[in-house]
Amino acid sequence: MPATEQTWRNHKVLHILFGASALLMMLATLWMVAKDHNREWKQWQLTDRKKEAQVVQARRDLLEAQFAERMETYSGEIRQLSSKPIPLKLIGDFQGLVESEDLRLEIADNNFASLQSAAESFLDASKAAQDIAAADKGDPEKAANLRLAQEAATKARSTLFYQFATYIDEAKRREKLLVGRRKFMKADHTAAVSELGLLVNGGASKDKQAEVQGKIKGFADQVAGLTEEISFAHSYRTSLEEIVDQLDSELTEVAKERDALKTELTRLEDQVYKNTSNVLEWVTRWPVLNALYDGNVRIDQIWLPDMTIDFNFSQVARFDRCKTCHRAISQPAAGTATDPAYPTLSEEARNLTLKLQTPDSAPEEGSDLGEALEDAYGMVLNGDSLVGYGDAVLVHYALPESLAARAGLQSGDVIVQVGDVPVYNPASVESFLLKQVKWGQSVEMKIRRGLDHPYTTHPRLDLYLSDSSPHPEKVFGCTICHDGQGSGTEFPWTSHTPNNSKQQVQWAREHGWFDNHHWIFPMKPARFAQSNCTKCHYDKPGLEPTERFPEPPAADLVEGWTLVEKYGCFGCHEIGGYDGPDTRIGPDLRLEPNYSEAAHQILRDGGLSADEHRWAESLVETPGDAAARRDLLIAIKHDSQLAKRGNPEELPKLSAATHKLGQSLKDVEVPGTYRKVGPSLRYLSSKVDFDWLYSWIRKPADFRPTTRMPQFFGLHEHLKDPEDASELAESQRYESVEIRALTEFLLENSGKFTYLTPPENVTEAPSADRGKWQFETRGCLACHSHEGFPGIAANQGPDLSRISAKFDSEKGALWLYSWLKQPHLYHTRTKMPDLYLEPIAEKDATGQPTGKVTDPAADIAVFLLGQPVEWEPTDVPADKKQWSTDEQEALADLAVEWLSSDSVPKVRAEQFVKQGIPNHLEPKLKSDERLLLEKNFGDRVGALKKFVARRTIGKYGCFGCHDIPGFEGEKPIGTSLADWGRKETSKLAFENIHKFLEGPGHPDGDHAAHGGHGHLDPGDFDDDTSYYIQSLNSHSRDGFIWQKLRMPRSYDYKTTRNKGFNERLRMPKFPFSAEEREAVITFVLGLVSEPPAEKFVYQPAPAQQAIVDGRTVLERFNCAGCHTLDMEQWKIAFEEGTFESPSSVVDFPFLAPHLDAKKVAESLVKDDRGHYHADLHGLPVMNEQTGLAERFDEDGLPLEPDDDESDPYYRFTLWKDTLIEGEEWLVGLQDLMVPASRDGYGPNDGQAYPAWGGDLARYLYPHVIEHAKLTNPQVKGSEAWGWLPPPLMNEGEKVQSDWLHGFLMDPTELRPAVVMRMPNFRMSSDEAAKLVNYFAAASGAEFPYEYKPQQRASYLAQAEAAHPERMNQAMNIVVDGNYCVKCHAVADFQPQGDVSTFGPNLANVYRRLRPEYVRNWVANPKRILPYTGMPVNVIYKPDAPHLGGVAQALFAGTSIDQLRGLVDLLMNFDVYTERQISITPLVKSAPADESQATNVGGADASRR
Amino acid sequence: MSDFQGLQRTTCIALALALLASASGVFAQEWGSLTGRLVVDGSVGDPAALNVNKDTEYCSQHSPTDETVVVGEDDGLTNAFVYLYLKRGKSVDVHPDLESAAAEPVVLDNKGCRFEPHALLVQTGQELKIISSDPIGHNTKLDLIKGVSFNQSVNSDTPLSKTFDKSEPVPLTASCSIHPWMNCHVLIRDNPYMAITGEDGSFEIKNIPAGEHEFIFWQEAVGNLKNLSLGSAGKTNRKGRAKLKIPAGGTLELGDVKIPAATLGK
Repeated sequence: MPATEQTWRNHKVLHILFGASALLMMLATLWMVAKDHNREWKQWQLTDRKKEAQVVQARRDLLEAQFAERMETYSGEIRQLSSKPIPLKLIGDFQGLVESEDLRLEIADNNFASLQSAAESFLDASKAAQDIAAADKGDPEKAANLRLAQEAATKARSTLFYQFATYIDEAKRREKLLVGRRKFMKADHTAAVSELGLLVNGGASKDKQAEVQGKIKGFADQVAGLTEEISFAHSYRTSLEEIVDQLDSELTEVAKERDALKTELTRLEDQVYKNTSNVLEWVTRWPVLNALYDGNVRIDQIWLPDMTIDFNFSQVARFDRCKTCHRAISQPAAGTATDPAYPTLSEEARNLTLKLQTPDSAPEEGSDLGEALEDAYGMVLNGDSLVGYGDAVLVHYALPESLAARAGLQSGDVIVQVGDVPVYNPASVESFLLKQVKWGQSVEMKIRRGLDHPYTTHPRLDLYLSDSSPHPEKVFGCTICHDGQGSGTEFPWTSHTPNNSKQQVQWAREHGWFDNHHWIFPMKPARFAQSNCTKCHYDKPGLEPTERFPEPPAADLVEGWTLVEKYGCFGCHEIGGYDGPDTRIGPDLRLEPNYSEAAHQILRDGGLSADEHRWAESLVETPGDAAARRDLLIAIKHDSQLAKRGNPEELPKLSAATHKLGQSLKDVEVPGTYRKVGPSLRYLSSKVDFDWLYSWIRKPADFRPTTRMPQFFGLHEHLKDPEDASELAESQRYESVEIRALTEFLLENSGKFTYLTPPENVTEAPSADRGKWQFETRGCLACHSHEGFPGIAANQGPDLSRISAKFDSEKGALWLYSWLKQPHLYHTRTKMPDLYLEPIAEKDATGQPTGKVTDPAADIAVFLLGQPVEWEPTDVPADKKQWSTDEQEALADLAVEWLSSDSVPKVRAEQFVKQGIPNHLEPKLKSDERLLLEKNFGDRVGALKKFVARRTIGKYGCFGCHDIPGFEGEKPIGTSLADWGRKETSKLAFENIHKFLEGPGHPDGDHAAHGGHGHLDPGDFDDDTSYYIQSLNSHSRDGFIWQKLRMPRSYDYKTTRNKGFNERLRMPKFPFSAEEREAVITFVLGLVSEPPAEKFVYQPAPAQQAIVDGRTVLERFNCAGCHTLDMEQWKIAFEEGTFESPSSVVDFPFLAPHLDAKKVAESLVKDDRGHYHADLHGLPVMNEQTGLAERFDEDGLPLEPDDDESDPYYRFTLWKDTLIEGEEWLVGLQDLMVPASRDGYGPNDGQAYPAWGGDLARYLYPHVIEHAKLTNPQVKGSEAWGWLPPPLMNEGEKVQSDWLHGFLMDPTELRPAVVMRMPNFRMSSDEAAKLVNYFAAASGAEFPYEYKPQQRASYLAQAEAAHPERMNQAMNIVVDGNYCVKCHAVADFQPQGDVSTFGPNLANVYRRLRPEYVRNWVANPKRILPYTGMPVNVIYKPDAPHLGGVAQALFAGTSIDQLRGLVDLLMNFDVYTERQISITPLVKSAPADESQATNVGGADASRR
Repeated sequence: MSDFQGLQRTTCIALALALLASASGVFAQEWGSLTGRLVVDGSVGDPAALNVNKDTEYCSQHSPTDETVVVGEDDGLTNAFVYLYLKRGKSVDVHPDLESAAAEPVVLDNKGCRFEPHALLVQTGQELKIISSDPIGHNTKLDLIKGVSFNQSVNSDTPLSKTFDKSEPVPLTASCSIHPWMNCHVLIRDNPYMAITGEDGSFEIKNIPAGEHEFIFWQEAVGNLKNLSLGSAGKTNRKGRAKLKIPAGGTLELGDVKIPAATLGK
């Protein structure tokens, strides 16, 4: 086919098509480029840069303004200093040095003419300048003359210094020359030495060798000579330089100061420049170009390759780009390490009204209003906005101590209103403040302070982001804690989560926020920001405040954690923190293995052998006894095998139930550690009656509003609709059956308990008065509250105010007595300790026994039972003996509900319930169903009741909190919570919750008529509720759990009709407040089971781990209820001169403080406001009557309550040495007068962090003083601390680990003066060990072992060789009537007098205390315990013979020797007393023949 | 502050000092005295015996009694303190005759299981000698508000010597930890203008710079003697202080100042 012009497609069309598509592509490319170029984050960054530039500029300008005068004076000063005459002597010295050097070097006379002429002309010029200065003083017109003269002098000075320099240069040249020469000479020497080596090896002649040897010596001599020369030259040169430096010193100082200031200004300018866009930068930001140039506007990301995200099937590195927009997030305020540069302020703190004082008279009129304003008020304004665009009246800066600064204005504040006038530009403010105010009065100003996100800084730089924090940003990034999509750079795609609906609406409007369902780790809203801490912190104490972080690091989370522990949520919901024995995945809250309970139940088996009985008993007492447990387990296994074999000759002795229980005794890989939170119900009938128990089960809060027992019955909010009336009626009918069956079953199922009775030697009848005092002082109030004792509210145990109504019977009284006396007898796993309420032999005022013996347990019981209470059980069944016909019917119906199943039709079940289950079915039945066998159906109601009760206990999981006989082997009934924080929301049954919330469950009350379509509008509710409603609307976990805790049965709304009664929701309602609920949610949401790489998990150093472990035990036994574990910590800021200097004291050298230079320097640093800072540990002095911190006037006198004119102060008793303005304040010497806040408790400027523990001690303080005054009116309050449980801050430094361990396991009476004695908590050896290690670690002492050389024979032998008789002499001091034995018992010796003045027995010190502590304590007890009454007995006097001390007749030696002797004696008291008796005379010799035959030692022989 | 200002201030101080010197030297500062007598209005009963339960053999012989309120001749209230109040950081001119008063040590004796005297005055820098005339061991515990507290044993062969560098706002209790019933009160001031009422309740403070001063009235049972009527001179305020005008060259006589027995807790 011939070629034609024709194409397949029409050319024209194609042109149009290609043209159009090319255009389209270009447009698309442009659009793409534009879209890419205008990404959201750029705008945020540019705005932030502008803000930063302005703020730094303000700081720079302030600095400049502040030092403007100084800057000006610098040049004047430098001129003045350079024209100042210099001492002729120094010039003479200089010349002298040169002359003597010349003489030494034998250089011909040096010509000093030019030096002298330079010196003369300088001195002349200098004098001229001085004269003019003197004559022209204060005359500005002649200043020019002065200036000229000074400049001339400066010039002359430089000529003179040039002369100096010439000499110095010459000296330098010479030195250098010599050094060079020596270098060559040394090389020659080395060469000669090697030449000699060659000669020796080559066998050269001796002569040749000698010749070279001579050469070597010559070189060596020359080197030595040169070295000497160099040292002369060096010293000559440095001497010259020293003189010049001396002449120049003042000038250098001033110049250095000026340069430092200039450097700072330049640095700030650079910073401003970096944050300001210039033309070049602007160009580089252009599309394409910006890809080539890495400008200042760019994505800022942290790459975390090991901190991965789980993308299902793959672990992906994290890229956190949050800082791209949150630029200032880790920026500390200028001059601080961890204060946020741009704090996030609350709305109240952002809108402030300040009072600005105006000058006393009108300022001078000036042309520039701005300058006039600065002169008058010390404030400069700026017309720009800090962020965003538009005009504002911005405070550029306020000069320190100016009127503006005093009013509280800060750089960056926006002035909104002055007087009543809204202001929009600086001019209006300037003219108002300079023209329209009344002079000498104050003007009200409304300002707005602070910035919005993302321009703000993280509030806790001490904890996060900063390099000094435990979570530096480079290592941890952001999203591991916050969640969200870290790689996102646009607001919506980063998965921010609003904190309430208001915020959500605002975000949606302003930033296009939406709920991105596809990102499964949405950011935690602010309210749950702490949840994720548990990803890495698996132990609560690791999140609690410490000395370094006194501000609670995660207060909400810790509260939630504590609530979960206190309310025993883990009884039903296992929170397992392990994935295998060594892999932690989260907090571990699980019940301890039920060894004790199982053993308790096994003891009911009559077939136990004596050994088995013993093992079981041991297990009941100490479930940690693994040997007994294994032995028992083997025995039971063996017995159960016998049962299986069925050999009639070898029948099992134990019951089938015991065989089954044996399973519970098996080893557990990683056992849980939590005890059940409720009391044991094993012997319940010995304690309470039917009525009380019925009422309690029905509604626990009725009897005790503060109880932790939740409500199971009567939760019918979901059945309120009229159409659910029949469901409601059914629930009520069955619930009352459940309650009655439970009550009767628990009482009938209870074991027999043997009450304790008062000992026979008690002579006095119980007294409520005595009981009240005992109740108050024996420690009860450390754990229990009681209405009769306002001022202390502990909640470790139940509130005891109404206890008399509970035990309103004979058995109640008997039980209470037994309980008080030995709580473990009734409930082996109780945390209530044995208080040693032994009979007390009364003593009279002189300490003599009166013959009266009282029983404190009986006294306390009588007191508690004597308190009138207006409570009575209500709605209790009238006939307690017989079930009414209605009740019986309901019982039977409920039993039918339980029995009927897929395999047992309802008709059949009804038959069973009527007649019992045929006996032949027994093998197929579950154990509780066997209760209904025909053979057991003699008492039909009884059988049904037992059956229903057992099923009810199983249904509600009562055994999760209580020890109930027969339920030892049961497992928790609830869902596991270990990863609930990531639970798939599709698995949450929301059911008809929205309908319920719109109707009967409306959060604002009963709004049955409200809405009716769709979901509730979150906007209708308060901020907190709105969050959860929104969360429910989007079917999230947060909302689900909120509603579950609020109304646990509400998800059953409208589902009950199709659910059997026993299939319905059973979660009880806990009495949480809204805040507590949120805290619990915070904790549960953090249970995500997503452990990051091991290196990120909190793994404290051994000492810190010991502290974490110990705190868990401290909390378990509420040690802090009585003991102060840490004193208050006050972080204070103060002006110079607030504190007088401490008085100096003379004391033993080893008591001198070890000053840390770094800390001294830190204490001398002033902050931006010119304030010093200090960290005080201790307690303010308390009022003896009220026990509250007393306020004093500036003289140190207590302030009257109505005195509001004087400045208030606290007298602060230090418990830790403290540095204030570089001066050391020592414990036990002087109190500090700390300016107090006028508004509340704490320092005037700073923060008071509360003490940890010791509530009871502080509560009792005024009470014991009052009580002591009854017998001794002279009693002084300061000593009362010594009668109370001691503070334990430095316990580890004080006591020996081994002793403390034994003491915790079995506390002995230690201090006769203390009103109570340490109770016995029956803790395990492991728990005691953890406490011991805690105390040692917390006070920085050695652990777990400490070495005590003083107790080693080698040390003693050495010490005694140096000073024989020292032990006997030390004993002289101990037993001298004037010293130790005045107040201390020593072995069998008892001192005379009032027990409140007695100290511990000294014979036991060697076991109890650490040697260094004993030395320091005896040397100056107040330095350790500021309140102690123990005097200094061995007084150190550096100027006295023997350095003071006690009489030489007692102990010959210095006071230090005496002290050492005392320590050695006390630390070896056992050894010392052993020496006093001889065993040999006690040994009876054995018959001669036998001793020869056996040939053993006498002692052994005598033993036989 | 610029150097110039500093210079100015120094000059001012120097001038002031010069003026002061000339005032006391050439023109003679004028001085006056304050006298009065504290009288108990009503009966306070006999002093109670104390619970002597330590070193009973020795101490019971001396049968110490409660000295919280001691009434001497003519119903005079003994051992009350009257002293000049000075604001923090302020000082007062001291009459040349009194300047040497602090040179002699003040002696506090442990005698007969009580402190002798029961009330004492010490000036800063003055030595307080604590001795024991008893054969048994004692200790002295003195807790100060401003100065350094101490608690040291005192025996007949080991006396104590103390000086103080800070003025204390009120008389403070010295006690013996071994014998809890023992106590006395020590007032430490940086000036000599203080007095203790004698057996007849009278007191005298001499050579006070003439003019108005504030004085504190203090007694150990109640502390500051509030609202005490001082006759024509006025009344003490709620802090137990009264502004009194000391006449030049004369004596402000307060006369008998009555204190109702009830206010002393009796």
